[in-house]
Amino acid sequence: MKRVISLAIALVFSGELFAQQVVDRPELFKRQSPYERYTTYRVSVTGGLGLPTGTFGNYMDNTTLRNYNVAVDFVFPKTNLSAGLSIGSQYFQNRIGRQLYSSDNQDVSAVQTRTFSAVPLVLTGSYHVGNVNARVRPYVQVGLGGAFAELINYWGNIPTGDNGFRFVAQAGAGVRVLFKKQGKLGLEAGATYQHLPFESVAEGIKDASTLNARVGLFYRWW
Amino acid sequence: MKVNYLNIMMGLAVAAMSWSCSPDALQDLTPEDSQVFITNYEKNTNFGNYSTFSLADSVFVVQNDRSGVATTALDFRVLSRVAENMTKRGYARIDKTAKPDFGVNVLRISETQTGVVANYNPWNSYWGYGGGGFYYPPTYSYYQSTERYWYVEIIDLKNAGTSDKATVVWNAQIRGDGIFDENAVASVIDAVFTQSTYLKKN
Repeated sequence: MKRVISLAIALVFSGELFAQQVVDRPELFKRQSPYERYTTYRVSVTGGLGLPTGTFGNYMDNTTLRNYNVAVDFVFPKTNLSAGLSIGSQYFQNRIGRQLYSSDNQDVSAVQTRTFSAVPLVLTGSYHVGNVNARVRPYVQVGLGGAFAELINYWGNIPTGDNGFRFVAQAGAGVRVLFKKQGKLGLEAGATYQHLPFESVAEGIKDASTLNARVGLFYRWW
Repeated sequence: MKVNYLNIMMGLAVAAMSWSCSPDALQDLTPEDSQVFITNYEKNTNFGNYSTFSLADSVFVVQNDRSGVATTALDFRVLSRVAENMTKRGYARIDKTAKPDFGVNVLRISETQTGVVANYNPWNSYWGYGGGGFYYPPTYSYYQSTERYWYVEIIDLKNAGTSDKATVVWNAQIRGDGIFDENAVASVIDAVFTQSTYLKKN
């Protein structure tokens, strides 16, 4: 008999225990998502079109699709800001048919293959429009950093040119679209103007600035 | 199924970067397109005032710090083509004992450069050290690159007088691939004359 009573008591209590859990559970869903509560992380991989501008545009006729970027950001929920580091890789190439290049007392007949590559490493800051969990979230971005840049102009197969570390400044805008509500993965598209001073008297350029339009994916986590 | 997007994206990024890092800009360059013709001339020289030239009967071969002469079939072909072009421009070929105005030399130059390059061991991680704390030292390999090219020069003997010093008033370098091909030598010699329109007798 004692055993039956104690079992009944146990049952009553356990029932109460379950009941409490059921009552408590909705509270979980009232909490903000971690993206709204904490500083979270985002990595994005993009690639796309590179368009030479300014004096570089006159020198390099071709646009490029060898234009990639990887960015890692800290995303701050309260201020709509994010800060991060981005590394890129850009490569331009332009073949010019045989021409006679005449200077003071020299004539050179050659096919030129003009190449320019840059690996910019940039600290970026972004301001976003909309909540951190919004499906569509436009942003503007500025960046400062340096790039290893190399210009090689092949006369036939004789290389001439210059390389070195150069200052880089970027300004851009774009949009990120989450594939799922509250999701981790999304689409990113944006355009950036990249200012890169690169003076070469021999090649007649003052800078190697470019306009970059890229699309890709981003992933966020906490 | 749990897909690790982060790994996929990092993988894609590394693949994209490594692909973009070392594109070979010249892989589709034909031998003809690789040829470069460089001519220099002395600005104060009036080439119309000269009328005769002499040409050595052999090609000088300069190999780094050594030199000699060569008389292969190809060398004769080049020499006669140079003579043909000079004659076309109105200059008469005479013997070098007959006091020519110009002396013309044809040289084959071969420059060899030796360098050393370190091959870093792929077992090390990208940052230089292996995961297990081991470090594999790099191996070294030597590379040698040789460039051979034609060099043609015209020397002013008319104004040299009795001194040993004669001025080079015109020179041409012919560089690139295929310039020693039997069938190409005529056209590469012609090319340096074609671009030197000032080189003619009045």
